[in-house]
Amino acid sequence: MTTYGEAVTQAIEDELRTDSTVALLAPEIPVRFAEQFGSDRVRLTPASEAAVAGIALGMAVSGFRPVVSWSCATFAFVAFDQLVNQMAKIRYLSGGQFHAPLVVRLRYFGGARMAAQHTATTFAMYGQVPGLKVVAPATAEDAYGLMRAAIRDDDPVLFFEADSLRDQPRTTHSLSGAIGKALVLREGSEVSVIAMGAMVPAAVEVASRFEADTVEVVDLRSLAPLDLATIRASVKKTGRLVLVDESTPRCSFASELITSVVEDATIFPVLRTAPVRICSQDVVAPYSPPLEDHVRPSLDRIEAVLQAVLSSSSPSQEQGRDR
Amino acid sequence: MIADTWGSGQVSLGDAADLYRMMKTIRLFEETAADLHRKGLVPGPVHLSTGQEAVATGVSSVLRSDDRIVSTHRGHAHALAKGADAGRMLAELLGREDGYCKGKGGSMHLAAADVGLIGSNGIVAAGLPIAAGAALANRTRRTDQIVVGYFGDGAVSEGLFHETFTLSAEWGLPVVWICETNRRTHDEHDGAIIKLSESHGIPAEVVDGTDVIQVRAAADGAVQAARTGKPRLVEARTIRPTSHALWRGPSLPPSFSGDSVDPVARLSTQLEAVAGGTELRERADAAAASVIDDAVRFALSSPFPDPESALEDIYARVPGMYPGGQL
Repeated sequence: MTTYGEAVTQAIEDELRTDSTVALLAPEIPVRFAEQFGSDRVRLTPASEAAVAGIALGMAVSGFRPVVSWSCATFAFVAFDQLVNQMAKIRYLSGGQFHAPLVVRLRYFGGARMAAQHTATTFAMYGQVPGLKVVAPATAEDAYGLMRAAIRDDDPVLFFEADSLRDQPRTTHSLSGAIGKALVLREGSEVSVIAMGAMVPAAVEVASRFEADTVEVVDLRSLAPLDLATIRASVKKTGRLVLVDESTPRCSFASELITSVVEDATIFPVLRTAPVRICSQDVVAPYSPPLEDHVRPSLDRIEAVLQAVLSSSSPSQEQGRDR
Repeated sequence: MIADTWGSGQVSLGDAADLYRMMKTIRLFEETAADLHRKGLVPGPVHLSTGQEAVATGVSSVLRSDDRIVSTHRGHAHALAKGADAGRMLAELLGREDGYCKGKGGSMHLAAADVGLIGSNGIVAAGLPIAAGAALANRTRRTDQIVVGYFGDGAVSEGLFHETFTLSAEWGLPVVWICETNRRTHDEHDGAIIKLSESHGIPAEVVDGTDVIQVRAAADGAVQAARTGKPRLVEARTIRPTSHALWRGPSLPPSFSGDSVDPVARLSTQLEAVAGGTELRERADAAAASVIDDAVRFALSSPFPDPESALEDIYARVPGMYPGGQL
């Protein structure tokens, strides 16, 4: 395993080898998979996204752990009912008689000049649905570890794979591999930057432009379940909160995280300044490079926001923090 | 017809009496559901299978207990015929603790894992790929279990019908598709659904869905084919003498009139024409009534669930994880 993109494929292959109930339904499958695992367990699928999602669910309620793989996250819109209304709900609706241990692998694009219908970071659309789990790895290690954890999970997991990170090499981050834990990638005392998915490396890079121990970067890793304990602890320490989420801002995870932090009566008084969301601008993803680059969060925009946030603080809230 | 031996459209008197008892049980269950709905005891909508009893009964009579089914929003008959407990079903309709889904599903989401009912479904055609996936699981495991996927003629206008039919044919899935055509959604010309099925690569047969003996014979052939990886469709043409759903408006008793045939009365008449048949029919009537009486008593005596149980069953139990997906 050398890169983020290869790590995902490797994780699926290792799970296929480890557990004979793991299956793969995908429009493209490495030749070595069919040779190793047979064409029943690894099955090429046509462009029938809704049917394929439902077939995965039918396998999942029959003792298998299928992985559905789509080369673009927006293809899942075609299968929306099966994702949010069927697999998300079968455990609950059946009173626990059935459950759906399956993974939907969704590659999302940003900055790839794929234009509107192939470009969307849609964490929140699924993160809002009870019954679904949503993970968004930001490192090659997590791409591997979270995929294996997702396959072993007993609930449906939407695995958001950042196309823009596909060539990221291995790093040295230690990680738990567990779904539902955020990871502090870099310690700092002045501002908490909570980043998710494709935006994590950008946040880390910008943080390195500031003095040591200034910017704390938290990799969210898992959006549902959400590790509020780690986020709250970080914001309590720094008193400043910045979210970096490539999604458009309305009803985004960045919004959800601000709410979750601000409504905590033990954190609200220690905030030194208003939280800030850094998201893609509230438009459909454009095609032309200067247009797309203008609406996505850039390193310079993140840095400018951090500088502004670090230079602002409310005196009355400083007092509150001291108490 | 009823004969001493069964095969090619014939059943023995004993089998016919069993089929009648199940159809009568379904009829009484639906009358009871409607009655409880009128009394305000069923909090949500209910879609009755009245008039379609022969389809589920005939199909399930040729299934094994380890075969599984996927149902629709109109699924009481499918569940009962597959062996689901009428008391736990009725308790679910009433939203009670002892319901199959602990009061979380209701009529449209009945599931009964103990008898292989993977689920009913509130979304038209959404169950088709789930049935196909369960069949793919059987195929991958090399078992000879099959899956029955029920749908109504209304599902044919959904894309999922076409996607799933194509895939189940291409992949040789051990599935039997049963279309209950009640002609309420479309006014399709005769044979349209059969042609669609065949164009997707699935041989199909039309039967009179008010004749349980015909349904059983067609289902038997389809099930045998499916066990060897050849999916089949049986289109059972039925009538639905009730409104679409019991929900808010007044619920009228079913009316069999004009060219519509009451499948329960039809089999009753056939039974009475055979020596000893009347006595068997009376015995079956009593047995069905007894099942439903017990079911009503059971359901009405079941308590409502603890409100806090609304927060359970959303995810696997993981220590420290709250409902809402937060740690």
